[in-house]
Amino acid sequence: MPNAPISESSTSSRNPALIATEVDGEVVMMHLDLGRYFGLDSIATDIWKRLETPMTFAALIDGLQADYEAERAVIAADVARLLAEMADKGLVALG
Amino acid sequence: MWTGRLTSAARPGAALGLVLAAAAAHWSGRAASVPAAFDPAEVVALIRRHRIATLTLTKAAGLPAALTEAIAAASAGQIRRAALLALECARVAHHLTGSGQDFLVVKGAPLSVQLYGSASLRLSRDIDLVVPSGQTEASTQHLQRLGYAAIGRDHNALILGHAGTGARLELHESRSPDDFRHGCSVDVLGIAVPTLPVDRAILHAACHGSGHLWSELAWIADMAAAMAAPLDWDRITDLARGKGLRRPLALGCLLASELLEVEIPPPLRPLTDALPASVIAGIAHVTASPAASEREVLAQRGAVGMVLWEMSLYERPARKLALLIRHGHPSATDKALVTLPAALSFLYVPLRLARIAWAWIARR
Repeated sequence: MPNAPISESSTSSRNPALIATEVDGEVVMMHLDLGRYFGLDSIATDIWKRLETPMTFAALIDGLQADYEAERAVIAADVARLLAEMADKGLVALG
Repeated sequence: MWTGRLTSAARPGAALGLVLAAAAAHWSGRAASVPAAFDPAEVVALIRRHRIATLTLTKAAGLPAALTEAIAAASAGQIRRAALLALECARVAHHLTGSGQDFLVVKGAPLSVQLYGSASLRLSRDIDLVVPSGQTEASTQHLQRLGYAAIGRDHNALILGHAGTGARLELHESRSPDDFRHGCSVDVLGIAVPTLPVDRAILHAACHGSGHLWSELAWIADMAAAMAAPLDWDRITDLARGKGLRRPLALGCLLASELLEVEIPPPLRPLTDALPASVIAGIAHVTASPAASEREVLAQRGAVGMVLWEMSLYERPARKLALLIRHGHPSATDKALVTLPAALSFLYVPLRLARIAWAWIARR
């Protein structure tokens, strides 16, 4: 089922069925039930680390905007797309 | 510090000397002194061969930046594989625990956590699972449900592979119920993984390294990591005495001290001092140039010589006998020489003994 559109108040959280480790600055994770590996690039790794505790989309974007030199709207669009992709793969839950 | 205690071994060449110094920096914090002339390709190859990249890829190691980059590139696959195996180890443990299976993971990710504080610092190649005697079939069924399939046998272990993750798992049956009585749990990436407590894990590592003639620095590095840790060495020495494993422990610690500059804990010194010259001579190849693999050392010295050397490490007759039985067990080569029907498969044992005896006579 497709995920609902992400709004500023949407909450993102890590899937607790995943275990993860870091290789050369990038997170590699495994789904405990599916037995499948997933590799994240550096941006996705950064987002994954920020989601150690569940947070709203607005808080996530605020944090990213403080660390990256880009317009808030551009960051929000890119991160929304990435989160939707991660949710499709079962890496994060969006609520 | 090369003190010359390994009297039969050659002083390490420039490339191996640099590799050892870079790895030693992990514990000493002293950057390696880079020699004026050395072959960078040889250093990269040695680090990969000995599976110690994670110990040398730090600023503390003091290697030139270009060399560090070359080591990282050459060892990237090994490092990634070890990280994936740590994840897989945690997954397997999670499911086996959930199904109520008794098991221990030995070496691998739990030992990495115990000795290095990180699940993937130790570059493992497979997962070693020990189950109680008679439990192989039940455990195999659980592992099959996790996607594993049997792919072969190696001595007393069943080898399983996972087509999806590429993981290789060795399933061993325990010969000592003691292992399970004294088992403990180690946190591997958030999952509790049953394993040996660190004192027994060190003895296991010492026996494993000795059994493989200490032909990889990764195993010697494990001993160095143990010696550098704040462990109760009186207790470990007592345990080694009780199990008749003083020599394998002392040999591993002597190697770690000589090659990786970690001080031998005082309770161990009487054991290392008591190592006979013949035992020390058996590991002269560790500083050979070019580096010799375990198979090459076996070929040079002959199976009989190496079995006798390994038997000299163990104090208990039962252990010596187990070693003889293990080496007398028919190998894949024996079975490839002649195909016997199942009813005559017992003849593989005398065939193997005849092959070993022939090789020994031919050498003499």
